[in-house]
Amino acid sequence: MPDTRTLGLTLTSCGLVGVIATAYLGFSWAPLVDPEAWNAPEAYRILFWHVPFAWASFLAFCLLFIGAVSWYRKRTEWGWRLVVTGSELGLLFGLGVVISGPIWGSAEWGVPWDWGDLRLNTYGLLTAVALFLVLSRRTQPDGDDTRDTLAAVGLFGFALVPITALATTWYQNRHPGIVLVESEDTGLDPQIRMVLMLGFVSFLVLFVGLVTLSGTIQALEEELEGRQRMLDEGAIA
Amino acid sequence: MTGMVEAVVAYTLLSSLLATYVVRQIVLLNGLTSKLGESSSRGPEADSD
Repeated sequence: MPDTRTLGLTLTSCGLVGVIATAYLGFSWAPLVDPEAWNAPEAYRILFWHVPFAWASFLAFCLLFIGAVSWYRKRTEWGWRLVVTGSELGLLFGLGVVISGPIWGSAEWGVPWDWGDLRLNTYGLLTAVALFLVLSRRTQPDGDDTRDTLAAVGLFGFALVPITALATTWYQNRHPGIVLVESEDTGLDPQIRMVLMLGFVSFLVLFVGLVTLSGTIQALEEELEGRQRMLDEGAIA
Repeated sequence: MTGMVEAVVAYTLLSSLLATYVVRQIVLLNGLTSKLGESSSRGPEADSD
């Protein structure tokens, strides 16, 4: 499968270049926020990766949802591949959010985690669901029963996505609101917005690259298993 | 305290996370590609050893 391999590697490389550029511009070009309004004005630069990481994790959970529905409806192999890819990338980007959020929180709020905040807790649960899916897939024997169970857990995980995404609109406690949507009113600096947009595009390209790579790897694993099975059957016969 | 140290620490940790995953995927991909290549070139008799 040379085409998807090359495509995946190219998109991943381009995405990484954009992600690095986002970090560089976030530190060197984006202006400092008002030191009177923020406790740790430099720490806000974490958000140039934190927010796109969160968006990418939501995309991963969307893939997980589509895959789980497809698996339940028609037992399609591509549906299961989406479940695997979605859970892996959901864990990767979810961990990024769960790591960077508390670092920013401890600098800005003085505490890394607020157990009374709806978004923090639902997001933590979402990442825990992704961790459960990845670990279960690697430790349980692959079969329809295992896939049914994990797809069901994946559907439950997706139900948390809209709750987490809209948590700051419904019930804002500590976590800031939706940055870009509220920027018209709050007057987000154009340079900050531009770096954030570069981050979104770069992480989107990286995400598509990683999805392509994951799909290619799974296809190769299946091909290898298929060949092994044929050899085993030939040896028995 | 401006939070610059926290920002640098966060970016270091996230870079390591991303780099680890990307390298792991590339190593896995290259390993599988070479295994499939070996399996194709050796043929079924050699594979059954």
